[in-house]
Amino acid sequence: MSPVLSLASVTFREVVRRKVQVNLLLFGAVLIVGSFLVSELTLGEMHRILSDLGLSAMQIIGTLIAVFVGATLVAGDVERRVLYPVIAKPVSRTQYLLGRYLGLAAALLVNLAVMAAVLSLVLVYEAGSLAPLDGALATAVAFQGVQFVVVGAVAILFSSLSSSTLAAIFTLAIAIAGQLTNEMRALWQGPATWVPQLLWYLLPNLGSLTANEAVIYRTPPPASAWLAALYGLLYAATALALASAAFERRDLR
Amino acid sequence: MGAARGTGRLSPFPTMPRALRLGLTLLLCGATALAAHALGASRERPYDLAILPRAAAMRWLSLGHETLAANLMWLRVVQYIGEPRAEQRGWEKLHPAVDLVTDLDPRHGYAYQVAGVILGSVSRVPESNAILEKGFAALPGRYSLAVLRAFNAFYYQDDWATAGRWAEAAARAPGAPAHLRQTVLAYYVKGNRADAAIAFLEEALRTAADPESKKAIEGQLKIARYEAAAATIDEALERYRAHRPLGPLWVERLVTDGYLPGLPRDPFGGRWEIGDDGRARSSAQRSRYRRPTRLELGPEPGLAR
Repeated sequence: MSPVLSLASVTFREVVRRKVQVNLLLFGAVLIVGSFLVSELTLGEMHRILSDLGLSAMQIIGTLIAVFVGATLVAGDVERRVLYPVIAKPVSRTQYLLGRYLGLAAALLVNLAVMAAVLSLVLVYEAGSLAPLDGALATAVAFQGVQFVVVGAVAILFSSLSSSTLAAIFTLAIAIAGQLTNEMRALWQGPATWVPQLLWYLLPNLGSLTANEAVIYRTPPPASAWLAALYGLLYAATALALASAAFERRDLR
Repeated sequence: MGAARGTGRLSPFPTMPRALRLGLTLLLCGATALAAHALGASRERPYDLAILPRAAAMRWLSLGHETLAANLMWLRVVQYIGEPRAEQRGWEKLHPAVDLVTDLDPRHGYAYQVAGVILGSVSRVPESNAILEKGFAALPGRYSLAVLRAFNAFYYQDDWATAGRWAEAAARAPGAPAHLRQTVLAYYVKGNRADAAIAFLEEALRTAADPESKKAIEGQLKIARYEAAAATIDEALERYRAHRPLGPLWVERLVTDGYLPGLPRDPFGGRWEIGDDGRARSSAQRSRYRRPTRLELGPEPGLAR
């Protein structure tokens, strides 16, 4: 097994065992089931409340796991001095980062699959048929997967540059700001329009990686879905490349 | 610390006299109970929406999840609607709250529908009209919104011509059932706009694709033309009665006395006569649309009544 895959495997097991991750995952499952109870409060159209609350709960929990677990992966290794024996072996820093990231991404996607399975069960139970399991739901879940790998890559970037706490704060800020870039660009009027444009390119456009509306209204997913997914994956790759460049030059003494 | 544990002195107020400590504890218990009572009293008020933020602010706060913000607001609106003491509280917040929900999620068709029905029934008809019109503009395929808008027009505002216009909009919506044409005809005729019904049905006939539809529309068009012709005679009858103490016994008198240049053609092929209600009718088709009185429509249903 290559060093990258070995590190990814170790990271995956480590992440899955973390208490914060398990707690958040359980909380996510409870939120999804809870949204079923909340949807009982509405007048008609239960599906819209159930799917919207369920998908939002999945997104919030998945993002929090990506932020708090991702931010401590590299920085935690540096702070606990676990990193030194690893890089003393014939493993480059880039391989180390990549292995850590792939393990994190795998854990995030497994979490997502668990939450998506819970939501699907709840939706099918409410509808009394398999009708809710359509292309829109698959696209929405896939989009969330892309969002999580983007946030995970940003977390790894900050984690390779600073401490766990700062990395978590920066990543959370970026994850929130990334949801607002579309609004910001649309609403910023008047002078210095280059500011929102610059931020548009710098920040991850997470707002485009959502298909909740298609699930709510049971409409086909947006035609530009593949482009948004490709953008997300490219953004994650760029963040990792920057993380690698910075980490290679970092003085770890 | 060990000594403290040994003597059982773990209190945070080790130097305070025992009676004072007891008094303080009782005081805290009383204050807590009072606060709980006040909290309970505040809950005895009918459910209301204290703050309704602007849609632009909510859009920012939702971090790109406008539908989620709309759905959470909608859940609050449902509690607002379901409050059993709503009459005591009033309905001032319903329109702004649903306006906010539908600003955030313009496709929330059910919100327009529910708000439109309730606002109309609690005598807030202009607000009901506004939300239904907003909904139909956002969702042209949801014809029920235009049907409800038509209902408001004739039922609450006694404006049958406007009801006909909205029924026509509903009938033109994609997926609207064919029977809405009959509603358009009835509303327009009752609103003295048989000409608008004829225009609508002629267009429907031109665009009808199957023989069954064509046959049905031809039947409706015949009624519309009949009503238009009868309305012309009715108008002459009214003028006649305004000038003379006794009304004519036969419609032909309208022509001989110069109130009409000639009798219009009866589309049903009968002869014109004057019915028991004093209106013109055909001997071949004695029934005519009649605008109901407020009493016949029944009392206005209302949640607040």
